Amino acid sequence: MGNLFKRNEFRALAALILLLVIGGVIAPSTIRPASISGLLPFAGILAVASIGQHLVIQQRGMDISVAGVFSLAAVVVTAFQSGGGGTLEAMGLVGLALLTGAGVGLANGLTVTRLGVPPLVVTIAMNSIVFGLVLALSGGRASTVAKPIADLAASRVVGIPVPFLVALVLVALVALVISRTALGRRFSVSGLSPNVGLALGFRVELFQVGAYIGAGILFAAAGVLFAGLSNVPTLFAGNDYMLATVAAYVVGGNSLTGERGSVLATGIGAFFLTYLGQLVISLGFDTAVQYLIQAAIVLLGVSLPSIANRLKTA
Amino acid sequence: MTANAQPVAAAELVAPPALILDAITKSFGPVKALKGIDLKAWPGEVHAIVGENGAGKSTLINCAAGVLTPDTGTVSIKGETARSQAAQVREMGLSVAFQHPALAPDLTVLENLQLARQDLTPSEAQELLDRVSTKALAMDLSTRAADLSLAQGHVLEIARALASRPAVFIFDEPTEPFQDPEVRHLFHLIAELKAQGTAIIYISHRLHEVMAIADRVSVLRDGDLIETRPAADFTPDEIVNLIVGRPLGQVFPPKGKIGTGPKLLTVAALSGKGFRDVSLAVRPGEIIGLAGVEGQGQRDFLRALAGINPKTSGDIRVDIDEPKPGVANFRRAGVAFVPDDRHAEGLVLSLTIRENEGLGQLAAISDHGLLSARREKELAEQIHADLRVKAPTVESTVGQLSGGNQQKVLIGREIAMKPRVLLVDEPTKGVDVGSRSDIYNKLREMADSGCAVIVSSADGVEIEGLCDRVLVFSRGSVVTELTGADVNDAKITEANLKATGIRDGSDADAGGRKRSAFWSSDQMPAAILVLLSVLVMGVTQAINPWFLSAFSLQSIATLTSILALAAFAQLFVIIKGGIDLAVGPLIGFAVVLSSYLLGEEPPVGYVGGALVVLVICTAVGLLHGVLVERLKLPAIVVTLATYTGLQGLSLILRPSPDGLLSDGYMETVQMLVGPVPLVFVFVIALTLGAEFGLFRRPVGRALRAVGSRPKAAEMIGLQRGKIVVLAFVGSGLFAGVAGLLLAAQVGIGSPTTGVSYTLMSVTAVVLGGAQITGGRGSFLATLAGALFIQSIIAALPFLNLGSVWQYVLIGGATFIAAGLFSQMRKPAKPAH
Repeated sequence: MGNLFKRNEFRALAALILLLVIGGVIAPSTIRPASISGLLPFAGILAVASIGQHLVIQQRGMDISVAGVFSLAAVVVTAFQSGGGGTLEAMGLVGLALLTGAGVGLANGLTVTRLGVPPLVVTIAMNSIVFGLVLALSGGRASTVAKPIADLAASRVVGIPVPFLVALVLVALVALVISRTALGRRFSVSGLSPNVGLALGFRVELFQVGAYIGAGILFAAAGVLFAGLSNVPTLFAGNDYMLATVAAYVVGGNSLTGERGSVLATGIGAFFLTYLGQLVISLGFDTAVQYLIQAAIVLLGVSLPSIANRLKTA
Repeated sequence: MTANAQPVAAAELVAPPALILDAITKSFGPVKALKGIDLKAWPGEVHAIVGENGAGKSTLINCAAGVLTPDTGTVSIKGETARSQAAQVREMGLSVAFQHPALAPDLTVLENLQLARQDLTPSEAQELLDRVSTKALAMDLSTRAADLSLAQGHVLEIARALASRPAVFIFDEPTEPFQDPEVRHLFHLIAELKAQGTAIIYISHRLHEVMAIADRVSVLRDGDLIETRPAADFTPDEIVNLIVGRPLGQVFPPKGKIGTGPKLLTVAALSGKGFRDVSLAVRPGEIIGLAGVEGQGQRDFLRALAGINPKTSGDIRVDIDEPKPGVANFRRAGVAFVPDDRHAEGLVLSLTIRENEGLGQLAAISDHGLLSARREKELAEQIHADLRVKAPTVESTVGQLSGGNQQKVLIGREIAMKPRVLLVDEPTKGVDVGSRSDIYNKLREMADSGCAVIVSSADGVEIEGLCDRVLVFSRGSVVTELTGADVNDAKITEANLKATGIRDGSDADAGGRKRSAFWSSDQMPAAILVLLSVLVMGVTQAINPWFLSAFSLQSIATLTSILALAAFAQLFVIIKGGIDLAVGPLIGFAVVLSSYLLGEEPPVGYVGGALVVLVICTAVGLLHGVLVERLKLPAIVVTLATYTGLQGLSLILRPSPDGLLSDGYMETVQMLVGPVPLVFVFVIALTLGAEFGLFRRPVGRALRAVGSRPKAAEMIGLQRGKIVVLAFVGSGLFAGVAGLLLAAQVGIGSPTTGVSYTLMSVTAVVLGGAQITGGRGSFLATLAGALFIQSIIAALPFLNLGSVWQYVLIGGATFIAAGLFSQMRKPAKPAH
């Protein structure tokens, strides 16, 4: 048991179960199947974006441009419609959105690796540029999403909401690749200890740039799903995901100081946060309080291990 | 007083010891680095400490210097017990010239010396440097430490330690990068200090130097102090045997039988960065040693053989194959490499033994890219048994192993790939005697089995015991080749000394690398940014004559002032080597607070209200500082959390814009002095004051030193923790002031104002040329950055450009400036 608790995903799961129990006691309605199934799509969207953030953090970075890319993808699948509304066009728009995300990620990654600018400054600046694009392309107005995307986002496969299903598949896939393949091992080493990777002949830069590209695609995918779900996404919808994606990573018990994290734990963290948000609202608080709680959780999440460490060594 | 602590000269008997180490122990995880060390140093004597790599010398010094806290035992300086704080220890009169100079790279030579003595004048500084070394290593006082050569860095390090006029002076491998003339100059200084009654502790692995200047010698081995005697009572052989712990023959395997078969590795006229024209052919059964003073190209040569450093000309043939460039190709050709820094380059400490061993041959343990857990485990267990690694299972994390076992894991990983060439840089750095023997035997076994083995080592005894043939490097070339009976420590040292001439190219380069004072100064961007701002305004005026008016200029000045304050808040944190994402929301929060406290009927008066706002903002800064410093949390995460949290608070207090600020307050803030807004005058004065503090006051120097290299700052006794907290407090305070001014500008408690100031503050700081990783920045240049941004924003509507452009231009400017400065300041490559 002690050993199990050393693994991030089990700790994250334990924390989630604890939260569900507390939620069940103080607001029983929040754990009814209907409420849970209602928040699954949102948990899925956060999880998809958080995997992207996870990849970048594992390469010693952090991607603030999640907000911009998320919003930009939503704009692409809403403002770019011809009016015909065909499935084929919708697929094209989704492809374009993902490609845009990849492009932003590529620019981020190259600036970080080639020019040696710290990730935070790169992505904070990129975020501003991308929001400029959001405003320019949307003309400053929110519009309605392409219908096939709305239908897809709202549909279920064997009872599971599609956004959540996408998250499940992606979490499983990324976790598998990272922990079970030679590629994943090289990726991990490139992030944990780039110099070791270089001395072993791994293509460290490729993995670092790759992480930003992957993140860009995943942020865009989350934006597309969000657009589909909310029908008329606000232009700044992505802003909420700036802290939330980092929070999901941290709440999953993953360390921000260059240790190996667990994608599964990040996924569970995303669910934890989404449920917590629901709980806060069902207790009658508004989104402002949700911000505060999210901030508190991140601070607690990162401080507790550090405090525990100090107590242990003291 | 024990017999072996007897001082040498009778005169010293009367004086009490200047330094007493009493029963010092120190462990790192499972590794006992020091096992109860007693040591005394008297005024006016040179006490040498010898021991091989990893014997515990550095740990001992760090304990004495207050850099590390011993687990048990006490350190007394001049009869007083010292607490483990570098600052206090230095004040008590002990200073250390560290083996790896504890310099702040972004500070100048003069400033580095002033960190040790605040009121040092340039002429005194020059005098210090002249006392330490010869003209050959002279340096300009205004050169940044980062631009010094290795040897110059050592000179500065010794001068810095000397600057605080210590009563106890510890030299840790001071002569490592020096040639003979510098060594003699230094010994002259040591004799002077000795005559003045300084207690000197001298650590070196160069035995002949130790025998030349030491009054007493202590031998350290595996964390134990084995013996202390007057130097004259030791013969060199005796010391060597004491250092190694047993006669050399028992540690090292017998030398090899050199075969006559085909050459295993042929290197023909190989040149690359740091070395040139090296040829070498390795025959079966022999181990080649690369020796030389630190930094003579031997390491660069070895790394070129591994394919890590590119060659510029010449050939490398493994058997008859010529590997293509790139480490991966060299490994495929059968070249294995054990780097000297196993923590940085060798092993991934947070992974298990199994995973680390697997990294060596991922292709062999996977099918179509899918790892086979079973084959990885088998591989690891086989290496584990073969190298006799002491760890319960292969699932142990490598970081928890002792140095010796880590080294075995690393060498095992490389041996397991069945290499044709095995390159080992420092085979036993930080490795205990028992493991050393195992490692030497393994290397010999590899040579016997037909693998070309090349070893680079700074330890002459190790080369002597292990190698069949030695290439001695100097200034990038092989100056001597030793074989047979000539392979010994004395001959290697002799060859090192005979290699005449001034140092390698790096010293000559130092002059060439010095950029002109204007381009390298921290204020340079200010001039450029002011010009650019004038340009933007001029061009806009030319396109749209309605642009320039007293009103628009005043508005630009006011907005520049607010942004400058926000950017100063950011600059504090960036100089210390962090980032403060919460600057914007904190300014917004101050606006919201102002809307409650500075309305028409202020509850605590205007001054009281403003003070409350400032106190609250400063408290937020303090919270950031404490979380970052006390709990060692990354600043990004802490301030990303408060970034969201503060926005939440603002929204709770003012869900929608409400609460008008009083006209009186707004008018006061918007007052003009002649044609100029009062706040602009205030900010200019503040900028000049802050700039003076940053560059001319000890606290400013300390802040830059901490940001430049935190570890070094701590080692030389700067109060890093306090300075970090102070930087965040300053950040909170300045954000508060910015918020008060912004409130007067906005006039209402709006919950979302201010947020955009996070990006704009970063942009202004980056435009101002601050180094984002810390250590460099300028308030003046940041103010100019703010001016540039506000000029652009003010010009946009007159050019018929919308807010889209504001986003794109500010983001783009950040990108370009950050990329440009980071390229400009890349460490210049030494010319070859």
